[in-house]
Amino acid sequence: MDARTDAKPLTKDEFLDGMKSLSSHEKNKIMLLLKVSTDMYKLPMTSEELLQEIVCKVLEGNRHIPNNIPLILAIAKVGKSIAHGYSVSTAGKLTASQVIINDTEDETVQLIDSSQNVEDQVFEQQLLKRVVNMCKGDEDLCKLVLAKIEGFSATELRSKVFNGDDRLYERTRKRFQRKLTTEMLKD
Amino acid sequence: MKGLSKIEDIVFAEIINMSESDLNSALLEAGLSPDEQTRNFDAALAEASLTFRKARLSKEQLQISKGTQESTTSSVLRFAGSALEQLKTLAKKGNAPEGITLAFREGKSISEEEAKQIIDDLSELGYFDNEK
Repeated sequence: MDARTDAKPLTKDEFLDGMKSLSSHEKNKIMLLLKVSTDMYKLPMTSEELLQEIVCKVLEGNRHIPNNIPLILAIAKVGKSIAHGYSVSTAGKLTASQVIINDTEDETVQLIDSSQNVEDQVFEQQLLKRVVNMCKGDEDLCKLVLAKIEGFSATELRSKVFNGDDRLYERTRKRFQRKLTTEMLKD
Repeated sequence: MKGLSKIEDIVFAEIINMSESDLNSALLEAGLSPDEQTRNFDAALAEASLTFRKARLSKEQLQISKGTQESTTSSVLRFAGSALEQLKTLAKKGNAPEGITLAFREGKSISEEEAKQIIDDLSELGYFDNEK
């Protein structure tokens, strides 16, 4: 059974109750996740403003939060969708996006799923460039990120990428998380 | 053959799986206060909820003043007479919630203002969706 087909949208009350009952830690994660989207789409908008947009649109019924994924992830996805909507509202944006994607000399193009629509590919590429730059000079980090993009599970990462060296894998994973957060918090 | 995982999913997953201490350290390193971030979240949520409620109230007030049929309190406009009369009619037809019907039977008084509030609530719940 496909979980997606069983997903129902949260009611407005469920959504608001869910948001109010988030822990401080969860709220801070959401703020960081929304910053990823405002940065990637280069919007002159804070995380708070994007959060307000999300809440308004959900309450208006223009966006729906599914009940089968964690609320934090759902908010991040809806935030990205709204940020995307703002970013492509400028005429000519699509043409510019296509130019980026078609630049085959760009190493990051090969790592993007070309079956996605162009706007999603642009978001992916912007994010990927940032992550790739962040990992430069750190061989283990590069290995980890590339393997994750290629779909390796945690078990495969440990055994095949890090040759069973659990400590190295864990150190690298933690380093990735820290560097990523620091990178995403930059203005 | 594995498909490419989206970097977006990877980045989102890493952030979601971060421990509180790691996230707080990163926030502090970036010159941000974890407590302030939480307050910003709460303020944004409260502001958005209030904005939504105000906008809905303004829209309803505008529609009522224009006398349109699309108001969420259209039940008040659809029928002639006061809100209290409409509520009594609903109760007589057996279309009102049991509590309301009982209140009328027991002779309890409901003000016009209370009746309007009840009509609004019933409209929200879809009680008038099949009314002609």
